[in-house]
Amino acid sequence: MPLYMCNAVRGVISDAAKQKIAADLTDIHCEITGAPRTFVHVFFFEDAPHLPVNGQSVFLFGSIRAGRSEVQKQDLTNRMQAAVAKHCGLSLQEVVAATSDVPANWVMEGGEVLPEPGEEATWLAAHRSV
Amino acid sequence: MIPVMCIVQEGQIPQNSERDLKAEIGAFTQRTFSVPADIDWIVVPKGSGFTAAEPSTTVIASLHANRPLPQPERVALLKELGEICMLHTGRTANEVVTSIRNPKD
Repeated sequence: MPLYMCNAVRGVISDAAKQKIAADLTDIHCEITGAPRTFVHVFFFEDAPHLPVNGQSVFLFGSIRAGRSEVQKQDLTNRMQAAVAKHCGLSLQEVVAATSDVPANWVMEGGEVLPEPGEEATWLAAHRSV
Repeated sequence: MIPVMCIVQEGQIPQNSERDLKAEIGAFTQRTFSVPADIDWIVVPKGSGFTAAEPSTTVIASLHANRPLPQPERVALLKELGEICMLHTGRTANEVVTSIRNPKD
């Protein structure tokens, strides 16, 4: 967590673009939220039925830990939408980005329940050796 | 049924392990929630999965419970589900993400 799933019409996102988008989304998420990079998962799909694009070219859906402000979430989706559009040569209107909150204590990673936003330092210190 | 989303990386899990993992997740939901699992098996195509902006080896199992869960029980179930995933995928704890969510509205 976060898990960003990016579904696109077949052929819209090249393999090279995936790498760049993944790097940008990771940077953006960590910059805005302060989350550690190791938490950030970005998965790409083409024509996936579980993430309908609804007439656009790309749908980016992020499940993020609950507790972020509305300003942070708007900043996340705006900047990620722009990053995807840039690397795919699309207009902003062709890219939809949205997030959904998930309580941290509903999720386990590294054998431990995820920390609340802002409380990652102790959690990471405990997992350095895993 | 318990809706379960399993996300794996392409080529990561042999077919017999996939079969065993699905069976054991089904047994887990039956044991825990008294109903079978409805597993949505999602494979991330090769070269399309990234964690920390590097090629990903992450496996994710996420489900919606059919009853409210006190947190101590949720933690125990998260751990059990994670151990099931590790056993059948060969991944480490750092490569497995489990999620047990409240019932859908």
